[in-house]
Amino acid sequence: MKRILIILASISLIAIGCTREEPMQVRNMKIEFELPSNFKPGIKYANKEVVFSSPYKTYIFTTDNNGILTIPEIIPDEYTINTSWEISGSEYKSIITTNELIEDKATVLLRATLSNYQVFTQKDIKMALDMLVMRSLLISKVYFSGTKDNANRNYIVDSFVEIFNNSDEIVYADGKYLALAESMSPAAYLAKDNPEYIYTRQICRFPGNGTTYPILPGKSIVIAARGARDHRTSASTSVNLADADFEVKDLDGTGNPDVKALPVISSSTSIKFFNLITGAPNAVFIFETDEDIMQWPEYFAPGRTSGERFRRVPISTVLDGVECLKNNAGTGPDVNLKRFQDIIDAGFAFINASAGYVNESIERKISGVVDGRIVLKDSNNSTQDFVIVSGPVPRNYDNPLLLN
Amino acid sequence: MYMKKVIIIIVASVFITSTLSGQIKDSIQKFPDFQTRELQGLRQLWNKTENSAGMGFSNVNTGSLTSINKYFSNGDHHRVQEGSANNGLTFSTERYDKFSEKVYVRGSFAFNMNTEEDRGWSDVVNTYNSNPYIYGSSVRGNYESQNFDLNLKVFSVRENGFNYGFTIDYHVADISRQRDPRSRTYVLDYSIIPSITYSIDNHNYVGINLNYRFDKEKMPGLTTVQTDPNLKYYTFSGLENAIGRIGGYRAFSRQFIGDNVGGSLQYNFKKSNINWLISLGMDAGWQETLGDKKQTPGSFNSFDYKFLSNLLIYKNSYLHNFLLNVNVKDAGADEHRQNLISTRDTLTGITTENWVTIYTYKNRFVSLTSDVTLKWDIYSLQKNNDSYNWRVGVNAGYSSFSNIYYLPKSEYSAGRVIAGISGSYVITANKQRKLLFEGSFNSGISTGAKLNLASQTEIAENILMPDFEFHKQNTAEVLGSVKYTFPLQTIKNARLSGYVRLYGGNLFAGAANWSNFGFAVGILTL
Repeated sequence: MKRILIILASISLIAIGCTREEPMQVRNMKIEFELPSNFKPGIKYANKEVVFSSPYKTYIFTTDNNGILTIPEIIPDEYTINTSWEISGSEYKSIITTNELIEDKATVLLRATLSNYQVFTQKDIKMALDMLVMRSLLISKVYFSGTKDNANRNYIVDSFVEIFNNSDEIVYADGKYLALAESMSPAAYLAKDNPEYIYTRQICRFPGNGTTYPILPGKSIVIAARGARDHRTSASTSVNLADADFEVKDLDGTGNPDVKALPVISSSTSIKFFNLITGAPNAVFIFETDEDIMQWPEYFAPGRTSGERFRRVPISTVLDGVECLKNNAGTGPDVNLKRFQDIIDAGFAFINASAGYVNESIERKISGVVDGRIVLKDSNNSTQDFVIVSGPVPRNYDNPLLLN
Repeated sequence: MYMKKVIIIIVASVFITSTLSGQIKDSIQKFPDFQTRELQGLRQLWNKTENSAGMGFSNVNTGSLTSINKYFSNGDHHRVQEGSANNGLTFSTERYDKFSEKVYVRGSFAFNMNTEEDRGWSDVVNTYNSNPYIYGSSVRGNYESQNFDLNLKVFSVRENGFNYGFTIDYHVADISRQRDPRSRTYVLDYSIIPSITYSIDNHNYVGINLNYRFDKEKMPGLTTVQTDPNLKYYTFSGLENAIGRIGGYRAFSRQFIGDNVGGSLQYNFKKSNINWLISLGMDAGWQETLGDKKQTPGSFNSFDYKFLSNLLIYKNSYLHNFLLNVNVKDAGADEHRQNLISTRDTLTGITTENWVTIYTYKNRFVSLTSDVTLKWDIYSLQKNNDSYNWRVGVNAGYSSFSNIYYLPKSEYSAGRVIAGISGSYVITANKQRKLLFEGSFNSGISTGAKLNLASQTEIAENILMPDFEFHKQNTAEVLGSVKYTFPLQTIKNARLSGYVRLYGGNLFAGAANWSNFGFAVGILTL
């Protein structure tokens, strides 16, 4: 009997010991970064930070002297891999083999991004770095969540967009466009299916003759999406848009007579205001072109022959864009519903609430202060560049959250 | 759910009716005795196993024990995901009966309604050492629950050396949170357990049982009365890992669906003055966690190892009962990484969405729990061996748990040694009226608690660290009760015995405590 008990106890202990295997990390993954072909052979992408980010974990690694990143261990997951190298125009010209017309004080950004890259097993990959000369205008704040009014009802007419001059020169808003990508549910035109174009729901064109509406270096303009008034009288937690620079309305439309009209010139609906959705998605972007955009084609949603038609904008015209995804209850933002290609926004922003009315905005972080001028963060990834702010204040960049 | 309640109430009514009608038929000129029933239950060693076939070896007299118990408990020595008070009522009835000359039955039914006050962070039934994909709100509120338990054991007399048995267990529950966000959880849990024993000779018996259990816990959705825009809802994935989303309760639903299979082997040695039963068993369970559109944060599996040794020794006029119970549970959860895939039919424009698993982290969360209890009770029997004057007992035990979340690794473990004494004494016994005092003292000494977390999150700060202090506490618990039993004669010649019991106690844990008290009434019929 004793022998039987010992055998049974041993079997049990062995069974306990053998049933569990620990989940393993992915080890020794290597990434080789390839600089553009016009770079001198001796130049390597050496000692540069590479950020791996997932909703659950963020890693920062550094490349070696040969421009190769070796990751000793990483938790298996889907990561957005992002890296960038910011250099001046003069430095850029000193490390290339070709002649390019770039000002010495211009900022050149070399960057590589892989969105939702599955790192589940060990693999060695190569990432090519793209080059771009950084543009001046950035979307710095988007407020669409709405709030509660003084009677605790939903208040949604206080939305606004803010555009910031991140350069050290005056930039004019004249002739540029503020647009909103289609936000159909289910999505009509996803970025992954349309690499060259954005399908817009609304496009507004800034008025002016070319030098009418200057934006000073380190300053911004505020665009009231629905009403340029002091909303705090109706909802104490709301914002004051009475001194907004523009109000989205028809040229002869009603609204605040003291605020310039920013008319919607192309729209898939008859809505006359900038229709930011309270709980998102809102993919907002600014673009610039010499072409007549009204000649650009419009398309119905796939499979449809009636309903809304979305004007198509080439991504090559885009100055800046911010993808604000809906924060789904229980599951969070769904990255598969992105309307912006990685070249416009390699990440996404979102507010905490799934339905809105929480007085939250998304705001671009501060990168630093140069000669008293605020410089905002622009890594082309709104997940890293933006932060959720509760109680937004237009034109205010004092919030400590922006320094994170 | 409503239909299930109706069925259960009908079954309960049948129990009580059969109790009284059986009482009239079987009545003999003697009042049933609570101690006799207790000792018969004690000698019915096989009732502590899952093998009902062995219950045919030592029967309990036909009769029913029906009780109503009202209880209160409250204090500040509790874990964060538990309430600070309980206020409830339990109705229970248990009957042994003879179905035919060859078939006997034991049936029990229990109904419990409970209000747990000031609970938070968990809207599920099994919060600890179980499926880690739980959910809840940080806003503490009251939870009202109703539990229905039905158990039926059928067992045969010996035929050609074999006894046969069959057990059905059926449990349903309904738990509703009384504060925004308001959840309502439904539970269904049933088991079927066929069993058989074989008599090798007049002293040696062996048995085997198999079991299958299905359990389902379902929360279809949450509702809110208020419109607090900042109300968060949390979904957990193990230890400090959880996501809290404002408005996350909207459109959130989840269910746990589990299948368990297992079995046990038993050996029973029986002589005139000794009766020893050992049972060794194992259960394996698999539980899916499901949401909307095939969403599943992960699955859970567990292996339970059980050992029981129940020994009765009669020496002089004393009955010794040595009971050893060992339970080890080795559990793990596989976490899924999923993407929501939208597929659009270009002809109709209709889009379908479903979650697709792109990776599974095997055993990302593991939990090992062990419970060992050892008891030695001595009963001072009266001459008829059917009742006792006093009982004294000592007990010892060890319980521990270890939870590990991998990638990155976090660990939480704790252990506790328990030692105590207990006893009961018949203060007066006069014409079948007895006054019985029962008391116990238990001490719990922490053998150590360890909390190593990879990240300092809201969950770590608000749940795990206070729980860690809870597990580090040494405890001392004192319980006492007074039970008065008396004869009753109410229906025709039916003779019943009734009891009234008052009880209370307190658990001391440093500056914190947990007290409980209550009263119960019941009847015992033949």
